Amino acid sequence: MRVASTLLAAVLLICACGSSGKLVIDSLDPETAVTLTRSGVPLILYRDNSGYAAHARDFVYVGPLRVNRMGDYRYYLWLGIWSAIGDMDPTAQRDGFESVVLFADGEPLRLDIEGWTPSVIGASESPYPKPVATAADAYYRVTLDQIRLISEARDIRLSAGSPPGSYEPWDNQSHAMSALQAFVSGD
Amino acid sequence: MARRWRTFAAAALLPVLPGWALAAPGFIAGSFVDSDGRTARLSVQFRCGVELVSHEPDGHGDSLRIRLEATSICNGVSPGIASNREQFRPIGADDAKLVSMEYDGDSPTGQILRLDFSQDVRFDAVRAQNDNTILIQVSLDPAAAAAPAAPTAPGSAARLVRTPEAAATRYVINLESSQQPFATADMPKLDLPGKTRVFITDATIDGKLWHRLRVGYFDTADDAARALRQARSQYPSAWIDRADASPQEELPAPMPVETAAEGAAGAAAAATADKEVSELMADARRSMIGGDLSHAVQIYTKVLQLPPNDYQQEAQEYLGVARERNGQLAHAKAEYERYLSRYPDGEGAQRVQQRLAALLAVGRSETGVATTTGNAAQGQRAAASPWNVRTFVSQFYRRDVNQLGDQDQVVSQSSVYSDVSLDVRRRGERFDFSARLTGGHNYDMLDRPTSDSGNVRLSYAYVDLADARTRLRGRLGRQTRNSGGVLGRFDGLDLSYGVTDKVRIDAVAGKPVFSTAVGVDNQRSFVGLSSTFGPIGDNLDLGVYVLQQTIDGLTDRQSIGGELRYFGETKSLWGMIDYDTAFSEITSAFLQGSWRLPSKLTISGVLDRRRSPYLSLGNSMIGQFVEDFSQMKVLFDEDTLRQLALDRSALTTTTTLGLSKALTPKLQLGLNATRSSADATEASAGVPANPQFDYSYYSLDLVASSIFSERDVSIISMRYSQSGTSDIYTLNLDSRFSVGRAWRISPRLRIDYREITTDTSTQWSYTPGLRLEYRPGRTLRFELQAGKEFSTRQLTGVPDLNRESYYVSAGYQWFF
Repeated sequence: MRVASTLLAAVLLICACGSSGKLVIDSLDPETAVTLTRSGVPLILYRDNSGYAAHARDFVYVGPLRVNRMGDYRYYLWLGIWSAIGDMDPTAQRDGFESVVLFADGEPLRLDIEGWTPSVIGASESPYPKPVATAADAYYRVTLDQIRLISEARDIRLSAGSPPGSYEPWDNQSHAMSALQAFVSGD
Repeated sequence: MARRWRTFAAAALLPVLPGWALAAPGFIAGSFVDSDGRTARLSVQFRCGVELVSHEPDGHGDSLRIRLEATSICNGVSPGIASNREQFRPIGADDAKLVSMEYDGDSPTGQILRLDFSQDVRFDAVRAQNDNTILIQVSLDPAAAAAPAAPTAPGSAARLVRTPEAAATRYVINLESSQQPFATADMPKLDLPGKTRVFITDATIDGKLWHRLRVGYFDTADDAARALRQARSQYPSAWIDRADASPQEELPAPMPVETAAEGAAGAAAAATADKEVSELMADARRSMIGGDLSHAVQIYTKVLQLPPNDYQQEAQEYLGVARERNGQLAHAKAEYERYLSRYPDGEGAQRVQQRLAALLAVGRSETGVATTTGNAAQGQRAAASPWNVRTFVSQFYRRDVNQLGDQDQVVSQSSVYSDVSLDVRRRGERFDFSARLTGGHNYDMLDRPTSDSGNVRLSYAYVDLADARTRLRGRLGRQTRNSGGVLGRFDGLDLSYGVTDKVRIDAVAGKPVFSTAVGVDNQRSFVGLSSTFGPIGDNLDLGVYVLQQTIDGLTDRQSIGGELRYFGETKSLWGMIDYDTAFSEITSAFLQGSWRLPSKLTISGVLDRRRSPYLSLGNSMIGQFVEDFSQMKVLFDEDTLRQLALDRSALTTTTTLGLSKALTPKLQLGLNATRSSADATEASAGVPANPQFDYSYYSLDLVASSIFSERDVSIISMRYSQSGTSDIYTLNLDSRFSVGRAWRISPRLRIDYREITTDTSTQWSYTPGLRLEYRPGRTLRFELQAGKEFSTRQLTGVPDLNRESYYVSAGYQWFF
């Protein structure tokens, strides 16, 4: 019961002091002067990693990005790659993510990595906060239409990793999908 | 001013000066800003010689695009470095009102150096005499922004094409360009100022004749700009060009009078046009998003009528989309067909093909008659089914070999892992149907006896039907869930009902599947009910559930629990808790949060406390020599079984605290500290106790990009881990390079040093490795990974124990 009380207190504390959320978040990078637009809620994909432990899971957060440099719009997908097994070799963590296949309702979208640091999108820091410190940021250049395809999909999964494995959507992603759709519609 | 320029050009030859910002290895070698308060002089030095082809706009603005041509004479680097894309911000940039400087050597319009200023400034750009430096003079006086450009000192600098602007320069507005001659009906009804007229000129670009509908002449750029604002209501793609003094023939007779002028101004015009088209596409996108589809159609049509540019493929596709959404299905079909005709191998060809097939399918269902045409291709498309079938195949071979000292090599693994996934979908206005079959096979080439778990895996095998009208959805078969108390894979039925947009109820029933290689667990079955709420206040999702699982008639699990997900702008939190009422125990509690602070610092934490393995009555079988749970029921009563299950399920706690910081846009630091423990377990029913186990580790990761080339990344990772049996120090070095578009190469090295406390021995291990990836096409990927480990274990009084092992993994992925 003590654990539950601690957890509840932590939840209330963080939610109480939380800033108001938005489905789509705009920000101006103070160093590079690009305008960054992102989804307020990333999609959560996971795969069981039972090779480590029965309940070990690898996670990938997926979020869209629009980079506006003086009217020059570029679109990216951000992947935040992390594992519930914290002692993850950073090399193995990134293997198989240079080229991934994202399936939107079965439609395969092959994504090639643009880079692992925010400099590749012209930003001075990642627009998405890291879920954990050991998470790897990966950026993939996409078109708005590809993001639209993802936002309209009922089923999304990702083939990535080495050897490749399938990352499936965590349950109840309606909030993230709403944010994706708001991103596409420019809300 | 000429003397100042010469001085400045000389300074550009001396990069080793205070204030010079030296770039990381890249095409830009460094940059220098010198300012006297009214005028700033920006010098950009490259690692190769450059020619200044053009710059635009000419005179003033808040953005300057300089088109360059790099020569092959480079300073200790490959000329290929000129194809990089780089960002750079020189020291003292603020003195020149410079916000950012970006070089794109891979731009469709050539090698572009782009400078963005924080305000409207007057500028001029020239190349210095030393061939590898561009000099940009920026006038910071707002009043000077409207004044004529300062003359460039002769002899101090060189430019490939541009010449100083003649006093007699006039301006025209290019309303529209087309390869088809304009008809009289195309002529606009514009409210033209003063002496300006509409006329047509011809230009030959890349051997093609273009007709241009223009308005002119304007004595000043400002006059032209004012007129442009009006013209854009009818001609959103209109742009301003400088006019030659050559005579123009008035409307309606077309005369190729500007052909000669086009050659001289071609480069500048191309750069201008590119920017205009880019803005046009952005405008069209906004119209699409805003639902102004007619306007979007108009703009995309304009883009397609412009001289060939890099946006036309995208515009062609979006024109079809815009018309389709606008209900102009016949036009949409035509546009999609035009796309497939022009770009049969284009990035979006498959997408467009599907959209066209869907349109044709709608057409068939509306008419009730199968579409047949004489055109074979059309006939094939018409026959396309609304069913969408996708197949994904991968095969990997893995070999692991070990050798201890002089002993024979031992092959511990030599297997081929084959996986296939088949997806079938049909999306309708009301019903969405999908089915999935995902399985695999392990072929053991060592010819060992097949393990109990078998070599065939079945991960997914389900059908799914969703009804948009009733908000009901059902999925039947082998599937996974990780909320609602369900622990992953199961065979069963999951029914979902969307009560409102924010409330959903799920009912689930099935049998758990603990291994894809083993059949279903027939002793266990579960039913559960869950509900999710959210988003609440745009940033919070909640879920609650109850679940009852039985094993051979007894309660295996009886869970109530909840999940919380919170995503704010700077904070995120994810928590899950599961309480078993049959055991009166919290079986798992997980909380993970992150908080982004100012100064690019993010702190994160994870708290995970759970029974491991996951608490259930069936855990009582662990360590017992029984074949199934029914035998346990004969041996023990339920209370004893429940106590045995608790004795076998250790309480584990993991606490992690992390910190990440972007030191620079290209350099990130990550720090992590984790402590994990598993409590001691009791001895009972003949199963011995387990002592407490503690494990902790600390890591530091540095991720740096663009060290050797623009898209490379290098990772240095150091970690220290400590357990009851050993202390391990690890250094990981990993670099990843792209070679062309198809190859990726990643050499890596891992060094481990272990202090083994059980026998006071030490061990060094070195593991060099290499990973190659090759992607010959969009649907195929090959991968090869190999490495070898050399280790030496030193124990007092005993000869060193040397061990070598290597691994090879090779395979491919293919979807179709």
